[in-house]
Amino acid sequence: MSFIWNDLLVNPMINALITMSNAMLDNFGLAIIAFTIFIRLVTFPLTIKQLRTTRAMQEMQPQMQEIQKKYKDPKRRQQEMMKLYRDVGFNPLGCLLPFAVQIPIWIALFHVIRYTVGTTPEALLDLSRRLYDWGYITESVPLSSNFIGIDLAERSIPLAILVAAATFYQQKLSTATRPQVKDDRQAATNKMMLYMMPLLFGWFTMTVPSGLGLYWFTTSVVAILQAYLYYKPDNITWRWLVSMEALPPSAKARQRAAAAGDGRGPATGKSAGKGAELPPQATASQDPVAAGAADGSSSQSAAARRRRRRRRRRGRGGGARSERGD
Amino acid sequence: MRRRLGHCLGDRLGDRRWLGIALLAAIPLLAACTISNDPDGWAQPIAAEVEGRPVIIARVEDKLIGAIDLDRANAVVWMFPGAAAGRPESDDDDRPFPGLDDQVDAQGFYGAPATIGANDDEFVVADHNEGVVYAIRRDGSSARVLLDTGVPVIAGVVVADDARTIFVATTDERVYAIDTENPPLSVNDTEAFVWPPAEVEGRIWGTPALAHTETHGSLLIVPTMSGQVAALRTGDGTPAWTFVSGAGIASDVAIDGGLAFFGGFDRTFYALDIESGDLRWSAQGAHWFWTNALAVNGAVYAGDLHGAVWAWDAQTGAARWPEPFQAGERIRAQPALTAAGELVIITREGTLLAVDPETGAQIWGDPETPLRTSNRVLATPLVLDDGSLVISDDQGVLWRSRVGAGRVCQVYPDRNLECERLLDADRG
Repeated sequence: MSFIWNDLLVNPMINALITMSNAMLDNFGLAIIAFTIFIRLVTFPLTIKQLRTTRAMQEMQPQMQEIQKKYKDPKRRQQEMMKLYRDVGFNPLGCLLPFAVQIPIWIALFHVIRYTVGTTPEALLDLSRRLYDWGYITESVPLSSNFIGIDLAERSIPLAILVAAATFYQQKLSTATRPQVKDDRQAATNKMMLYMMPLLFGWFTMTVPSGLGLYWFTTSVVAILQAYLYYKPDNITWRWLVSMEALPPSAKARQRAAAAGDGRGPATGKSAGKGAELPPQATASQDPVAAGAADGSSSQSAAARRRRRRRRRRGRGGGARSERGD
Repeated sequence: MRRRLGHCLGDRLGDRRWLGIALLAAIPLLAACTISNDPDGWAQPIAAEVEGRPVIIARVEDKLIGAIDLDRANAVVWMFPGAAAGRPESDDDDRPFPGLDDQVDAQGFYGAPATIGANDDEFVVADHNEGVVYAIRRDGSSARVLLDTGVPVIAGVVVADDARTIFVATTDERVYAIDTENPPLSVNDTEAFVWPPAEVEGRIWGTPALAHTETHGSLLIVPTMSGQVAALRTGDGTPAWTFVSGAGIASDVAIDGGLAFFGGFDRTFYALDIESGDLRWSAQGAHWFWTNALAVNGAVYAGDLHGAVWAWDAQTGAARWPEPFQAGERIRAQPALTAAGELVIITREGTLLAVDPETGAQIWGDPETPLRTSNRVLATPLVLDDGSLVISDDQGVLWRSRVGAGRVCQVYPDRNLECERLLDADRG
């Protein structure tokens, strides 16, 4: 286990980060930013898989709520829920598995930055045994910890504020891309997440070397961009940016909720975990992007057209299954 | 990722309890990610006298500095900060050490304690955690603050020949000269220093060394983590010369025979002429040099983090041994030379070995059944007059051993008297 953790994960990442720092003209801050972006790109397939599964989960929400209302017996409710999952080809573990795979990578990255910043002599001594025996690497340590006036080995309150702000917008974006929530408890939960998570992460940033804070900030910004590009929410405005409140869900999210509420069912297909593909006959009404196209709305994009063509092709080969799903 | 987890749990279960569970799970997860490497300190133990009795001043227990009398039933004479000498114990643990206004949260003493005053009246230590330099009365009855630097201090305090002026080198690239009889209480009070704080290029981790030159008078030779070595005149703090090595220098500087010795992270060991700062010779090691060099009897010894111990002729840099001695484990503690002439090496893992300083041949320590302390050893050992070694490990435990004896005995806390009896019997 130690071999896997140290020799296959942490140590290569440490040496890659130091190499990147050398390539960035000994700018450790830039190296952290570049390295974080690199790691997020490497794990991007997992992120996409998770986003797709999450979207499929959102689209099933009305049916799930209906089942919960309709069946009081827990056993029956569970059966109906499983039936729903089966019908739409949804795997409940689909959103947790990519997350579980990414956790060790993120924790390793935390440790890599902590080791590499080397705030104490013991930390630097520990780092020495993790370095590859190449002069290019060993001679570049200790790294210069100054980045635009911030000592990456020390705590930084401005960076903690930035991390809290980035987390806040990450939360806001997630709210804006969700379907309309009818459940008061769920709405309260969303609101609590909106304020609690930024405070939590801001506080943690204030207790650790700011090199870690820089990583947190970068990863949050990249996550925001990834989610933005994936969801393409249509309700992002300047007012949204400055508002402290979670805004109502986007038109797309409302459409999704409305479509599902009409009883036409959620996204179905071969496997929701693999992209929540829709059956051909349901595409126009249920997929937000495709629905926009059918309505002649401006939200149609080249990516949406490509996606629709892909679905049509798949639909031709998977019609029997789709029919069963309906 | 956080948001998506929230979706998974919150949307699916639609229950606020799951948010609580998620947050509770996130806290230990984040805490695991943010465990910091707290400084432990590796101050070298020193021998001293308190009230006429020999004691050891060492980093003990939970990162404290203590005066330990090994021949007393209650070995602790005083402990700083905490147990002042002569003060009755109290349930009130928040009492400041006598002489200080506030309770001290000191931890991480790296430099060996130094003594000041005509009669070695006080021990001077610098704390990494708070960056404060303290003077503790020899009898442990009180302490005072000499300087609050406000930044971590790793290098040991250097005492000038007058036993009154001290030099404090910090991690914010400064060197302060302080008259201990009229100490400045703030770093901003530049008028109160012997000379205005001198700035060097690079954080200072290694303890500077005093060198006496014909050209410049007394010099303070300061190693830095940028690789620069600066020689400052102790009279006014102005630079006499500078030398730039290939990488950071974390070890202390040793002076002998007109040369300054140190090793660096560029795996190179250097000998500089203290008059001019010119490179006299250099030699390659196998990894970083972080042990302090031992310069004695015309030779200089140093270990590297690959576990090799090197010996060179101090004046020429010629290798003294056919090949470096391979300890097999990384070495941070400075080698020690006993009165009987054995060179003792203690690895980071606490393994004790001894070699012949002339040939590099191992004369003690069985690789099959290594003799070692329970914890890691990063501090240079103390060689006592009776030939035994006192070792301070990274958990604040003191050990005693002797070259040739097949045992190492814990002496503080929980002294193992039977082990020591056998240790001394082995000598007989």
